[in-house]
Amino acid sequence: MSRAYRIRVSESATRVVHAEDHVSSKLELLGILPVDQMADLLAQELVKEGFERDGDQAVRTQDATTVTIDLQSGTVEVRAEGEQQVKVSGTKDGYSYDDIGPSKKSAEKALKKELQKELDASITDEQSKLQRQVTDALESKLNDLRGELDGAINRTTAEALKQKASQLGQIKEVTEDPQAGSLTIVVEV
Amino acid sequence: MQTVSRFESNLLSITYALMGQRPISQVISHIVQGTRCPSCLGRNAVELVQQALAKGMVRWLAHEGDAWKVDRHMRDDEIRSGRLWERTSPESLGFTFSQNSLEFLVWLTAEQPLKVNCWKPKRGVELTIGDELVFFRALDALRNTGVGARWMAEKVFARLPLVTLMFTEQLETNVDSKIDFTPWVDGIGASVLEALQTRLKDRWVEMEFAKRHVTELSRMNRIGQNQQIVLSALASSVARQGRFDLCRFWLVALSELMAEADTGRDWIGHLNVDALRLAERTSVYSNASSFLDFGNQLQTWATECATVGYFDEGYQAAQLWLVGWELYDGKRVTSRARDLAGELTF
Repeated sequence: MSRAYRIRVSESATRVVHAEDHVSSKLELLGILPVDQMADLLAQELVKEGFERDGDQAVRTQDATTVTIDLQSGTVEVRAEGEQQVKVSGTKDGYSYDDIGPSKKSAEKALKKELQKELDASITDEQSKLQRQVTDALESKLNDLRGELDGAINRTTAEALKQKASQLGQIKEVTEDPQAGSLTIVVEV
Repeated sequence: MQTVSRFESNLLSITYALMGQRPISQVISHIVQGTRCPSCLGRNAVELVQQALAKGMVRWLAHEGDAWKVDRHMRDDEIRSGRLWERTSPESLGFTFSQNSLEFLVWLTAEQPLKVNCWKPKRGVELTIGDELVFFRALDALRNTGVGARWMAEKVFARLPLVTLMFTEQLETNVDSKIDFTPWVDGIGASVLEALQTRLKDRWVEMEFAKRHVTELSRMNRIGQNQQIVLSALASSVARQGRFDLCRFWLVALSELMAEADTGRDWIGHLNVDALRLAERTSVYSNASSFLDFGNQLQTWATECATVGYFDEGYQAAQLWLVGWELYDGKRVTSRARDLAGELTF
């Protein structure tokens, strides 16, 4: 009568998993002044919000999220990244018809291969969880960012209007109502 | 009386059905089962097929399309009013059919389309507008059958401009990125688009409503990408030729859609995007709103047309577009479309 010998294999793995997500959008900036001047005004407002100007771009990185704004075209890209070290380990039991020799080695090899697949699946799960976290974090940051950028655009537009008005004539009066979002400029032409 | 063989009789029956002269249900069994094809056709049969195509296609356009309606379209840089045959002399409304049309009809009669590879046009023989109408009519008549469903996945149909314009969302393959509508914005091709304005409008409204029931992300992406190719290709051909009137159906379709649209989320109602990265979600939303976004192009045309002076070239074409723009409240409609598309951006 043949006997079956119980065998056990163990494996562990350490991997670094990465996750990344991004969205792009466009700022709606009115062309009140020439593009270069509007870009400069926008850059000044963005610097107040913690951005750094790098040529035709303004960049800010906070909590693994990078916001890049092309000052000429108004394109906004928000990118979030994440990285995590994942350690997985496991054991797997099986049977072999011999307790020594090639047959046992072959059975162990097959068992290790199955165990490796399961560990890889665990790592993929962890990567998916990390991706989920990165995506959720990016989505929650977008709301705040929207408010910040809307504010920067409004102030840029207001400043551009004042400069344009001063080109037309002498500014007699400027009235701003930030709450209502209105700006009244009286110009003597 | 002319006599024809059994095969030729089936060939004629199928041709008459594609021309709308008898119900497709009467010939569907002939199409699916096929008939043994003789080595050549009799002269009688060929002449009858020619007559069926020549007269039938015109009759179909007049009966099913808008050819009979009094409408205003451009002719030689002037606005011309009347029915299609009043705007264009009947002598200029004839269709030309190449050997591709007859060969396609013979193939459709002889073969079993569900079991063999799809027919392909002869290399080196350019398709005429008449040929493309025959293929369009075949797909149109059979689209709710197994044969039509199979053809919707065939590249040969995804290269035909009229098919891609009419059945954009039903194609199960990608529209040819090099699709060219140039033959359809001048001459007889333009007359066909004039005659199909209501049908095209209805189809594009159905297309957008269909998006509300799409559950597969890949399907939504394909629909949106196909729409973008078709919208861009026809728009650029129309702009080059100054025939904005041919795209009036899009303005009317958008107007009808905006009258019933509540929220931009309707366009992605049945999609489950929770598991997607934001980058992928943006792409799906962009594809879902591709027709809404096209409202910006219609607005651009209106803005440009408003600057065309009385003595400038294209003044009449510009005025005709602006009349439609006012009639269908283009500014409000495209603004609403922009707002709805904006709900689908981050």
